[in-house]
Amino acid sequence: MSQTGLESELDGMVTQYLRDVDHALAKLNPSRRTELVEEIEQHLAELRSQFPVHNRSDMENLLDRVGRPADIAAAALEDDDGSSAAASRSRTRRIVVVALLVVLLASLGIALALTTSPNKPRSPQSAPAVVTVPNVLGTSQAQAESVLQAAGLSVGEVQTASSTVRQGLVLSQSPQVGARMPRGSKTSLTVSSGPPVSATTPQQIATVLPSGIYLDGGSGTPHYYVALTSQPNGSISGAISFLYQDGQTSPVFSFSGPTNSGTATLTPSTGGNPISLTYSANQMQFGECTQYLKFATSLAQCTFTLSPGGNLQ
Amino acid sequence: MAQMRKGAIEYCVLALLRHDERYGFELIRDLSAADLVTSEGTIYPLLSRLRKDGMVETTWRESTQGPPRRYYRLTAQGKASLESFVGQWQQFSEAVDRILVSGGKQ
Repeated sequence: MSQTGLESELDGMVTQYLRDVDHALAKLNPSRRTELVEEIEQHLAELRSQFPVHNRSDMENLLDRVGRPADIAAAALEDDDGSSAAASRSRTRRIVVVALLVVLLASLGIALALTTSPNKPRSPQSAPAVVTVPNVLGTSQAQAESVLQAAGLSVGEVQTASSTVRQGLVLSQSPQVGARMPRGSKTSLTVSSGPPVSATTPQQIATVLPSGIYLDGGSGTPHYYVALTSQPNGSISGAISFLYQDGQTSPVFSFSGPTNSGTATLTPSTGGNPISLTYSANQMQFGECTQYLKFATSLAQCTFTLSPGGNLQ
Repeated sequence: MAQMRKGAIEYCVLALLRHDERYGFELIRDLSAADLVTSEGTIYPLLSRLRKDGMVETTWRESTQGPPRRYYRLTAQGKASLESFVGQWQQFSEAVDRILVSGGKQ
């Protein structure tokens, strides 16, 4: 009992620290901010695995080692500021370049500088450059396109997938609803091509709704769920892959087998650790997969089909 | 001194990547062990900048324990930048050492 009490107290210290770091990074661009907080979180986890923490004081030492949130923020803001062209040179050269720019600007005339100062080329923050991805799930493709355009996004790749959802309606969108994206970013859509024609062909049983995949942080271990359209009875096969925050894609996990066991093992295409899957009437839950899913923001691919001979309940 | 340390660390990171790719925690652990870093968390912004500047490139790799890790690898540009720094640093540190040790008298 006291053990769990201490554990949750130590976890609380980490949570509070990460929150402080996040607050300190308020001025950083949002995607970099999230990424950095996650890097710090992972760093702390690695430190904890190498330096056992027995009490508050141990934890304080560990947090000290990572650094004061204000110092991390100062380093991040300083490095976030450099334009990529100037930053590719050495620090010393960068200072020279900045000095030259200052001289150049001054020679262009102070009056000009004053009138144009709100539009300095190196202040991307001045424009509302980041927009929130709206929800277009279940709308028609045309409707989705106009909603996305109104929000400042454009439509990227459009794929189709067979589903019990009516033909022409949006089944999934990526990046996921609510994500903060640079204005003009592409949103890819998956549109339903309608229900499968015949029961003797493989039937898709998993909907690819981003809202159907979510993170349960309650127990401290991330779990992902995919909503099933109906309860499969028979043999199913499928493949799933995940999109990480930086746009890279996880290995493709695939499996096939009977549904009566209620569990399956998904083997990654690249080799390495499999992840486990349990399914019930209306969902599939991915377990023991923190190493793959912690940074996953959405599904890149999700197809689960019921083999011929099976039926849906 | 803080500025000098900061400037040098950037090249120490590149040097640690000279032969092998490494992930963030590993890099920082080695810098820390060499007493080069006081706040480990401040290295991640540096890594991000090196990546943005094309000095290093990154790949996600699965880990046997915990989440996937972002591995850093030196680019050709990073290698060139490191080599040029090594030359300059040797000259600079020898000159400073000469003055510090002998007070400029030979």
